[in-house]
Amino acid sequence: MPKSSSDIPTGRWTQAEKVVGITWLTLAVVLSFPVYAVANRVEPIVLGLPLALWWIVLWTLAATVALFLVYRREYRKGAR
Amino acid sequence: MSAGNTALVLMLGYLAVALVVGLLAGRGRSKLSLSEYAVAERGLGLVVMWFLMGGTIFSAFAFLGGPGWAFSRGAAAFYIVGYVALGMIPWYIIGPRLARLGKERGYLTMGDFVRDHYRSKTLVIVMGLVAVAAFIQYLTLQLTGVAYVFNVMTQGTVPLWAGALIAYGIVIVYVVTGGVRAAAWSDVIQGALMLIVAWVIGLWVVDYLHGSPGEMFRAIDAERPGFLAIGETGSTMGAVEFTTILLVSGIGFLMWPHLFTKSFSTTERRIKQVVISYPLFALFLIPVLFIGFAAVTQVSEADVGNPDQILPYLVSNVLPMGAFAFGLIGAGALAAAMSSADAITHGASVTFTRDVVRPLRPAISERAQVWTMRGAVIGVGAVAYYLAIVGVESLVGLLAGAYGAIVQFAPAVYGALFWRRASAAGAIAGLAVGIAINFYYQLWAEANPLDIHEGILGLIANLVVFVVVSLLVPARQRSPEESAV
Repeated sequence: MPKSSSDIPTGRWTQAEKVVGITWLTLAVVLSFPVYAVANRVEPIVLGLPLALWWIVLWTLAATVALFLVYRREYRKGAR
Repeated sequence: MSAGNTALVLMLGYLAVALVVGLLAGRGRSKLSLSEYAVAERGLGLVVMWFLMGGTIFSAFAFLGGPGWAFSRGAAAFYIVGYVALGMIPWYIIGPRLARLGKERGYLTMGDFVRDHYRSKTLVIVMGLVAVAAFIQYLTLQLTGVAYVFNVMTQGTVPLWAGALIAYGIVIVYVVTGGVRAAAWSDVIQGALMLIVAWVIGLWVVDYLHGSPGEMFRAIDAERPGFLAIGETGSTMGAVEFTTILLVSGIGFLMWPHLFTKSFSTTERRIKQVVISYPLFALFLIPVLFIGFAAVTQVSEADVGNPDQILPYLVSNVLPMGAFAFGLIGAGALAAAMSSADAITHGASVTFTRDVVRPLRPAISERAQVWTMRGAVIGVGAVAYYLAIVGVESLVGLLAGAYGAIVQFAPAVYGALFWRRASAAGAIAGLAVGIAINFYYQLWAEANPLDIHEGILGLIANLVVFVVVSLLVPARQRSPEESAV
């Protein structure tokens, strides 16, 4: 074990981390009631899935895209 | 050869492959290195990590419980799809921070990290014990699933006790010999197999019984209005319950020590890649739910008995199935249960040794720790096996309570990372209150206030107590000797 044993650095949030945090909050809000009430029904059924399920799938994909963009920004062109 | 015998042969063939892969994965690595056994020298790759983390979701729960929920509770099952991304995204923030600290300071477990911040043995031991109890509960569920699948798919040839013993015995052998690397590599094979089987069977069941998913959902909606919605007449779950169960799963996910600990088994960059690719698992779960939805208008709940057995029930009673397909489904279900069981067994052995035994016997050598971990694999395995096969009423409630209590680790863990004033007294008090409330509402209370999930009730109280006590009883200053350790 290294000798330094001060408190664990609580370090500031980087910009990337902030965007990820906001992404998580957004996802938590849209999948929760009352917002989820917007999609809480069967019709329309598109490509076999009811709206209630599409809502979850699409927001999950949107969050994934957001994270991918954050990642690409963090590691663009040989950074690190 | 009867379908049951073909299934038996296929399942045994699959088990042989799982064993060989597990054993090969650990070959050529040091059998005495603590870091290798616990975190694979911090060097696991992306694909392996992805399956290792995913194996937890695709457990016996997904294969048996997921369709069971869809079958008996309708739209409530959608939360299973929803919490995948919600549970994983925070890892993008905390994972890299933990990986950096872990490498610098030699952490192998959640307890190592918590102890370094709070300097409290008590806190680490309490968290360790709760985690081990929760792991045992989790394992018992997997083993019950394995035993049942083996029994049904071989049409009764293999009794419950033998099925669980064979499948889990193999898990124990490769986890003992190869540590986390063996669990990870066998999860790749198991994960691939169960994904294929889940999709094939999910889509095929829908096609056979309904023609298409759209027709299936329309038929369900026509026959049982409200079943495919939340909080309406005919729904099985209210809006508050749905929201809080989703949040508790999302927040609690990374607090499982076997997942949290994987922050120490790879690099910062790979952690981020795993998080980005992980929500694919949410999509993979959809056909699994189809299996249960397809049965809603076709099978009466009374005939099945336990909704979790809807998949085996469909396979043996409703679907016309060739012997080969039958066996393949058996192997897929085994793979799902085993890929969770290996990671959990490994996690339990590491947590027990590092976070319970080591604080009590600080002088224990690295080599002794590795051997204690191996012993713990067998010990934990034996307890879970006993509980799954024999069943002990009095323990069941206790373990279920521990299982629900995992989310209560969140304030202490996030506090250590993000809040300088977080103190050991605050963390211990918060945890105690959170766990107590969780137990009370999970096991004894008639109904939860406002229908809120007990984990969230506990979490709110936990957080308040944690913050207030941390402010009142600040962390003590470190003495120079401590800082020099």
